[in-house]
Amino acid sequence: MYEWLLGTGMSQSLANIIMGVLKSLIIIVFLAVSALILVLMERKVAGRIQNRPGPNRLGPGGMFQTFADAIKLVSKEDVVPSGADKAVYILAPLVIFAASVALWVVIPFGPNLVVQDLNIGLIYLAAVTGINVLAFLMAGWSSNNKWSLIGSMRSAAQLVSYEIPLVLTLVAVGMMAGSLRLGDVVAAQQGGIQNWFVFPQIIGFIVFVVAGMAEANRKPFDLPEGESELVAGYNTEYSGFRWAVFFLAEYANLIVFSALATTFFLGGPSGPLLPPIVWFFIKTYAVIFVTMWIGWTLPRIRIDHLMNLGWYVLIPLALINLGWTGLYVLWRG
Amino acid sequence: MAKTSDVLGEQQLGVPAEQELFINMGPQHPSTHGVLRVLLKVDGEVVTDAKADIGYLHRCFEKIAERRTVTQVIPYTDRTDYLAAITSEWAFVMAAERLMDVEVPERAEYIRVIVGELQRIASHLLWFGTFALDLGATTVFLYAFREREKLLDIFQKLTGARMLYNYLRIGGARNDLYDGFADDVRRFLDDLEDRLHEYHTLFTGNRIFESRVKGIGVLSAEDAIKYGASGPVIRGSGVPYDVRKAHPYSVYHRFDFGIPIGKDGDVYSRYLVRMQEFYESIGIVRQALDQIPAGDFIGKVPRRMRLEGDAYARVESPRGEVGVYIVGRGEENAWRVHYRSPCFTHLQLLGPLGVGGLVADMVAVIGSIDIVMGEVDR
Amino acid sequence: MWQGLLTFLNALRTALIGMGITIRNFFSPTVTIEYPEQQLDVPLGFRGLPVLLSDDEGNLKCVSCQLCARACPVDCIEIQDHRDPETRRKVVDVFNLDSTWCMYCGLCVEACPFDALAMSDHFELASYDMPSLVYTKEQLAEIGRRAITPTVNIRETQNFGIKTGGGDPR
Repeated sequence: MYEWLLGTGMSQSLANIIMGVLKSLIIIVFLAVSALILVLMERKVAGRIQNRPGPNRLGPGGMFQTFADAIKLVSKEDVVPSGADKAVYILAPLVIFAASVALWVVIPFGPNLVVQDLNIGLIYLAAVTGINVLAFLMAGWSSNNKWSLIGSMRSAAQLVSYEIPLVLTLVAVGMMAGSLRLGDVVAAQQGGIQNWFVFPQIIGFIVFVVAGMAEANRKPFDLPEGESELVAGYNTEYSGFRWAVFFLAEYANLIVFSALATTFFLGGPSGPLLPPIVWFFIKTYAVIFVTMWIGWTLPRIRIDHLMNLGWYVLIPLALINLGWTGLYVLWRG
Repeated sequence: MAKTSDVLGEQQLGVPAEQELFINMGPQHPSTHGVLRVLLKVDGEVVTDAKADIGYLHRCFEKIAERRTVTQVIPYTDRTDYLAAITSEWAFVMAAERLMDVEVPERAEYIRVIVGELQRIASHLLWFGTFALDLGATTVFLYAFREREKLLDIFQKLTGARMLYNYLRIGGARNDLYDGFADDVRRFLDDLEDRLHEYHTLFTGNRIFESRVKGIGVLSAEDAIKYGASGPVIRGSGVPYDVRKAHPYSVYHRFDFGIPIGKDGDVYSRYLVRMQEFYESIGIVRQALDQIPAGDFIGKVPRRMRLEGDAYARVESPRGEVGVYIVGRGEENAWRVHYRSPCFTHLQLLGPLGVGGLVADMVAVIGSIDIVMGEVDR
Repeated sequence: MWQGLLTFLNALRTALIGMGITIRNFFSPTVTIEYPEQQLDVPLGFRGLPVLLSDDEGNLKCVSCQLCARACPVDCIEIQDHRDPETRRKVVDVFNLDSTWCMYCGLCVEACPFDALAMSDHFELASYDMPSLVYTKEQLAEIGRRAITPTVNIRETQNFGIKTGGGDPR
């Protein structure tokens, strides 16, 4: 594609810009479609777990339910509360959406199927996930609602604390691969299931899943919105399209987390027979299913227990994992 | 911009200290079980003061009861504690019977015990589900409702309604047990025992759940007595007070059942007490089904029921002690009806139990005292 | 920290046990009744809309004695009649039942000494306008005529209801 653009006599910088726009469009469309699929999947999984069929009215097996929901949300009135800080209030959904899209830049869907394989991919991921906190704080603060405020304070505390174990496990993965580039991480796990990082990194994997679910605000770590406590947390005042963007970003975060777990621990797009991108999605959706399964089983954790879990358990575990990884890498030579 | 919650908060709870703020929990809040409004003063997430604001569901039940004949009041009593309609009816009917010296046939008493205990199971199932929902376990909620629906089907076959039964009458019950009732109930109880085991494995044993409820909202036995608590709330604090044993009514003295009591008086103890009461109720229903005699389901009652004098009756509802006091002055309608509801009393515990905990603990406390706003406001 | 670790491991263990139960339910059949395609069988004696019953010739059994209206706790029954000059019997002109007030307690049926009223299995009462929720004599009688269960001796059999087989009279 890039070569073809150059072949038409285009200057290199213009071709770069067109490629960039195309790639980001693909990513955004991919995220929107994934979110639609995930909403349906979530409701179906929840329904089956709770002995009910889930959405089943629109289309075969309720397939078009989320489209109907999306149309409803987009066509709703755009409400900004009277006491809200309007600029920040409007900006918050955009920030969170931009952050979750930006994460996709470095994730390899398959060999050469990556927007930009940065050589500091891991650091880039850690940096961009930090932006979410900002968006939650903006949403909670600008809404002029006390529940929103508490929700955003919770999310700030939660996301900041859980970023540390998350990054520490990423460091261990980087040590295993000997590189911070995600392409290299995947390359290091080639050649069969025994080379997946999940086995030497089992502690890291558990820490990553727990911390990642907390980062993605999944049940049972959905404290920032904790429905039965905080009404809806940081997005209490949001409705219609803005709420839909929050919703979209939440599912985008979930799929990012699952894609990362796949890339770092489950061999990424590698696998026999099927094309790599299919393997990538099979593994990603398997991880998503497990998070949903966990989420619909457990009660919500309390905020102080969450903090204790993060600081007293996950961070020490991640550090232990880091030490073990060092020894392992030394032993492996 | 001054918010109404701030104005009202200062009136009710005083001026907040620095870094404290008022929060309106309800009347529109997912876990206040209807239209309860709790005014919270919080420091960060720690509740420093709390006050329940009630009255959103007031329907003048007691006043209406003065303008209707006794039979006409029975459907209204359903609507006080709408999750345990039978026990609300029972208290009212029993008070009216005492007032008029109406004899209740033995079979009718057994029918009342059976439906009353089934009602306790239905109500506890709903409490279990909503309590789990308050703690964020959505799935448990639907499992509990799955079982409750089966019980409501039995109630529907027996009384014709699923929720507001209007089943008990002065002197007995509206109609006799239908053929096959005992089989339906036995099958349901067997199934329920399996399901209870499932609930315990899924929910009670869960570590997250334990850490959410242990040591939260501790109510000492002295305080429980001082506040006039009853039902599972006082038993959770270790006081073995149960109207069915302390002031036996109907035919309860013939059954062998225990009073589960808790050790610590926290949310967990109250939870365990209610979960144990499932088994006690199952036992009582089984014994009653075995022993139920033949006979009339309704006794001889005067055609025109004139109320003269006064009478008080209390029953053990799933939520605690329900008492009805009726004063009559020789007319068909009562001169005054007073309804003592356990939830109203328990609601006063919100402050003492919730203060010092987090907002999330407040939710657990509200769930653990199992309020029904229809009964609080009447 | 070791305390925390142990708790964490315990939480993981109990979470796995719980997940075992949820996955078992995941693969077990659903319990949902997909209303309105599927409908539960409404048992005899169900307390739906109170309806008027007719005798074998199709005349209303109601003699306008007003006992049901008096038994009603919410006064939702309105009866008007006139006396037939020839037979000297009361003829019901108006029998309106306001279903917005009715609380389906069934006391009217219990009060009726002529088995002229019964609780039907008719429960789909939703409507787009309020006036159509007041059921007239003709509408109530029509549902009553559709009764597919024996309706005699309501008080003796202690079945205060009838089955009509559904359908909306409006």
